[in-house]
Amino acid sequence: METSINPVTLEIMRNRWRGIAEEACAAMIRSSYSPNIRDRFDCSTALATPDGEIVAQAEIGTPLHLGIMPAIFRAVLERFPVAELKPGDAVITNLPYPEGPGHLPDLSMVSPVTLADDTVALVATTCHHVDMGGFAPGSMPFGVTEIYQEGLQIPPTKIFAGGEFVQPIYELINQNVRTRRELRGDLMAQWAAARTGQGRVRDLIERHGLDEVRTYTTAILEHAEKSMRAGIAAMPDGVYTYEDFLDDDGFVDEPVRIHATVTIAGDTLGVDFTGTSPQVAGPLNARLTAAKACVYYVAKVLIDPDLPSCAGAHRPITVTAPEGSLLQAHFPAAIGNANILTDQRVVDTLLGAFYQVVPDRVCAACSSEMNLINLGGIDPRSGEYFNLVETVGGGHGACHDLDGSDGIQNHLTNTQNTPIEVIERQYPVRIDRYELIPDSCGPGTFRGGCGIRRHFFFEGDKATLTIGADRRKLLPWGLEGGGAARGAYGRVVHADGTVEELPTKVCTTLRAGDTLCVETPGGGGWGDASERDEEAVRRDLADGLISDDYAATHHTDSS
Amino acid sequence: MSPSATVQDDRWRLGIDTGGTFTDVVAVNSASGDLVHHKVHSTPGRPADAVVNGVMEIAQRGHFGVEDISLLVHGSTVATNTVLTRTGARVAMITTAGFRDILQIRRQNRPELYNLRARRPDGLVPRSRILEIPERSLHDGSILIPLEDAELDRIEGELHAMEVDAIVVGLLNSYVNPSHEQILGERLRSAFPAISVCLSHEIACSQGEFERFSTAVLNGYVQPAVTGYLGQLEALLTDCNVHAPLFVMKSNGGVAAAVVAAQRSVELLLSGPAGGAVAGAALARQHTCSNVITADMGGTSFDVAVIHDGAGVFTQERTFSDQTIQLPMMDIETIGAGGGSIAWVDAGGAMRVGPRSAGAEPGPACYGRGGHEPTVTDANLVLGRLAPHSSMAGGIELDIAAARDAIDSIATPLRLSLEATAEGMLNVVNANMTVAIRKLTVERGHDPADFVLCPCGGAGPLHGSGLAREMGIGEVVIPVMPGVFSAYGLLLSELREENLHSQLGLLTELLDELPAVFERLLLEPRRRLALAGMTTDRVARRLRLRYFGQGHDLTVTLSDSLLDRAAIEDAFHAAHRDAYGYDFPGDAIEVVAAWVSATVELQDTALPAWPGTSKPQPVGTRPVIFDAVEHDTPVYNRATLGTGSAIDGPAIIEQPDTTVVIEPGQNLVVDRLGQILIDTRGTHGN
Repeated sequence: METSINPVTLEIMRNRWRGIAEEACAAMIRSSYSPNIRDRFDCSTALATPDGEIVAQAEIGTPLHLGIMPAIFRAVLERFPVAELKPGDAVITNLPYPEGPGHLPDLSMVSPVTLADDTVALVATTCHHVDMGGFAPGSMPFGVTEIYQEGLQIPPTKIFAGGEFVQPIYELINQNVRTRRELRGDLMAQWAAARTGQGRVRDLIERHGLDEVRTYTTAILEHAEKSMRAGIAAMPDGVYTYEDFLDDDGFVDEPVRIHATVTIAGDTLGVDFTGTSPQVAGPLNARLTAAKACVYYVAKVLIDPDLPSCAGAHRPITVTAPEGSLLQAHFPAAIGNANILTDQRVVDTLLGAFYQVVPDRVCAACSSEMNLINLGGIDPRSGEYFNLVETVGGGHGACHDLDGSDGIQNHLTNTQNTPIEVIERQYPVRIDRYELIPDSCGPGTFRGGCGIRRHFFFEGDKATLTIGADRRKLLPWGLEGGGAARGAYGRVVHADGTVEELPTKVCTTLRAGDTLCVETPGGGGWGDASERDEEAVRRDLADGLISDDYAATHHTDSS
Repeated sequence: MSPSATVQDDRWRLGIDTGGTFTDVVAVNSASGDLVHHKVHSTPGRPADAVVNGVMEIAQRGHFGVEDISLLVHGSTVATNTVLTRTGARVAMITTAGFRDILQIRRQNRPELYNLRARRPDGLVPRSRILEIPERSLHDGSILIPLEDAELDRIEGELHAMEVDAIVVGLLNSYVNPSHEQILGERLRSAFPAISVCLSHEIACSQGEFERFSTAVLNGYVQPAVTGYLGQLEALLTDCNVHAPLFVMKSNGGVAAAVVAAQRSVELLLSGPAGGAVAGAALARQHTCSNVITADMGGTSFDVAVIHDGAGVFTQERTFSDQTIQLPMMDIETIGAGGGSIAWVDAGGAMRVGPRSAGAEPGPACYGRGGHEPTVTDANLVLGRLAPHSSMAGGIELDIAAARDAIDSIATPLRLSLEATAEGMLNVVNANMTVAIRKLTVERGHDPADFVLCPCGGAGPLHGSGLAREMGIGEVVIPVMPGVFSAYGLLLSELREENLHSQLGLLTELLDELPAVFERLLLEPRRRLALAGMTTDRVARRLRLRYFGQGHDLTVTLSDSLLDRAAIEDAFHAAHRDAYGYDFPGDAIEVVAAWVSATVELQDTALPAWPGTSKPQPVGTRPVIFDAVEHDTPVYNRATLGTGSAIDGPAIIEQPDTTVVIEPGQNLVVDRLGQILIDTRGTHGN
């Protein structure tokens, strides 16, 4: 650390920046409209230097959003160089190509913090909006092959100019989306966050002076870089490979490969995805931006969960993938579900590689698919469009000395559920079951978590359902002899009693009286199940989380 | 006794606050205004003993007989500790079939984003004691699946076999239609007369199944312990010839008769810190500034509460010890920052303080009881803010050499001097505390500069002036008895009973029903007050409102004139602008909940006037380091500072339960009540 940097001021400045990001995020959540933001927190906030180097983030919503933020700043600054940004401007974009948010529903807003007309910092937010138009409500359809079908693409565009709302742009977007009240409310919530962030950063500068703030911003980034380098250097040098698969792309019934080569050399970490499948027809393609977010997530998890989420921490890391591959797909490949499926599998692949390096710090595979449900149509009670967005958690993978959690969000998402009592009042939907699935946990000395069963009874006339799941065929794996967990299932029980098994990735129609039954995967186990502590087996039996059969199959001493 | 229970006879009212180390007692004479305070050692194994000891000893100190005690108001940690130590009741829960895991799944999110090893804490009821019953009410109150008698029989049989101490009933949509919970309640209360039966809609009648069930389970979990404790305490007091009525402080900043508190025990979880907030509100009423931040800093934790416009700020939901509560409560933010917080150097070379604490055992290095890590108390000692060789409450001699050694251990890797390290520790811990204060002010749309800071607790006055400077707060008020501020607050409280029901619908559609809704909601608070022999006309009616389609809401208090639609709408639009900077004037407004409170004033306790005196005389001087410069700083004894005393900083003021620091450039005056008013910008003048 430079001698002119006082370690006390450094810690205080770092907390201040993070506090500002959290205040801005809180303002957004409190004033938002859709349950997706207000109840599920599918949103995030970051502060950056005028060059777009992230100084602090609010660690509230989803690690995926946070890891993608650097690309959002780059994309916006590419179109609007910082000198062109004026006080009261706000630029929005949802365009993943060439880099930007992960899929079209994620709309990001970047605005400058100005001091005497000079931009001294940037504030960004990302919200998963309820709908961005396109083929199906929720704008994450299956059965499509191009981004044009997925929804409205918004390249970096000013929605506020000099503090004035740019009405024609808003009207253009509004005309293309199904849930207009939510769009306006959530967009204004992003603006509320921007204004909060701008005001607080100006306070900070007023207090410390611009020079000191700049000096310590540099120091914050260097501190994070140093911490990350120290963490990488403590791991043994070497080249480690692993591969994992998605079941299919929704079109062709064959596995999609993700291959990672992890190179640890001194205090640097390189990840290359050569060997990964070429881009696919279905909407599971991604840009390298997303793979980088996955690597940043895993590095922070393995090295220090408290490491500040800033640009400095990313400097010792390089990520590459072949052009035209699943992880660096070419425009206009469909991209909408990479966020919820492909990226989770990238994390599993990385953890598989790091198991060879730091086994005590990884976990077995989690459910690792977000089981995203978009159910949209006209609500017969109001005559207005509705779209219910819900991701359903699953089992967490076991660690070397800990059971995995039951029914929980894992890795790149941490959104909350929408309360049943809110869903039933707000949508033409009744929830008939919401519970853990006994025996769905991967067996082991330490077991994985159990998956979740959730039944949605549809009370409207007709609605479009998109469901994005995975891990039905290729199950969440265990480690050290621990077993795999049960996979993902989905079916519709029609009003006439007939049962239709659903593929994991599908767009279909629900009609009055249909029930959608979703079952998410459990988490993989760790270690030989016959060595599981007898008391733990008894407790799981008493709690009804495992059956007598499960115990007899897995926990009978083989000796 | 209506509407005020104020008594002006020559008798004594006692405020008794149980803390981890000490139980504080404050007694006030209704006629003379005389005020006595005292500390006794807490008896964690049987906290009632310390309460009784405190009552008996303060009567001796104040030279009055226990038969002259007219009222006891108690801040209790029994509910709090029962949850913290997970020693509550063996609870069974009955819930709607298909939804057995609501409590386990919670809101489905994990506690830490980047920690694969972080686990959700276990719930208070294991899955094996959660019973499902076929039944279903819908969001509009209609019944989809009726409750069958045969199922009631089955449930009763299974409960008999379980041998539980408490039964909680939580059914979906019971906030709209509670009839199934009521049927179950009636059946179970007659089948298990000795067991506490809690119905979720009776404890917290609001939308959101997980939060409502969780609140009800917490109530069931702490109720047997609270009931047992209050029964034991009343018996012990009776044995000692103390027959005054006993009231208990609740998380909402009001008190309840012991008999009511025993039924709604979950309301006692913040009983301790709420006393400090109430004292802060009283301070706001007597002071020119109606906005006060109370900052209670002890050995391990820092509790902040905010008083805005003379009233405590409420929250509707919080977690306590990882368990979710959904009830109107004082909005109190607690962080792990205190005298015992430990400083360390992270991998990137930055200094951090806390959240680890040396606690009471071994305590800071300077306690000489085996602690070797540098704590905030050690830093205060090394900088001269605490007197070398001074003794802390409890008679511990401070060892400055041990403090210097401990701080030196991190000064070396930081490449800072010993003094710079110590000062840095105070700056970092103050900055951490400002984060907690900002959550309650800035995040709620308030500017801290519009508040006065009231630091209390053993360590609060040491940090108050620095904290205020850090927050841009102009004035700090050090109360007369910062060490027993919460106990004093108990004496200023009122009986307060609330009732909040989710009441969803458009404002335009609900408007005509509202007067009847409020009257219905008031029945329950009036019933609870009647149990304490009270009636009242002092009621407040509030609506929680939002734009139709919005998620979070804002609270609007109705005056009688506000029951017209335009006035309510205007008040809401204005509140939205204040909070978020914009409003949607043409949009429909939705009611989320109706909320009433009924209050009875217990007493009007005024602090006695503080004597005036001649020019303040320091008892000595000592070197104290401020901003890297050593100042020869005068030290005063607080008892000798009369009304009107004015002192320029730097200065140190010592009193038995704390030390007050005045920084260079700040100054103070002592007001007519003996409170020290610090002007952090030094403009009081002399």
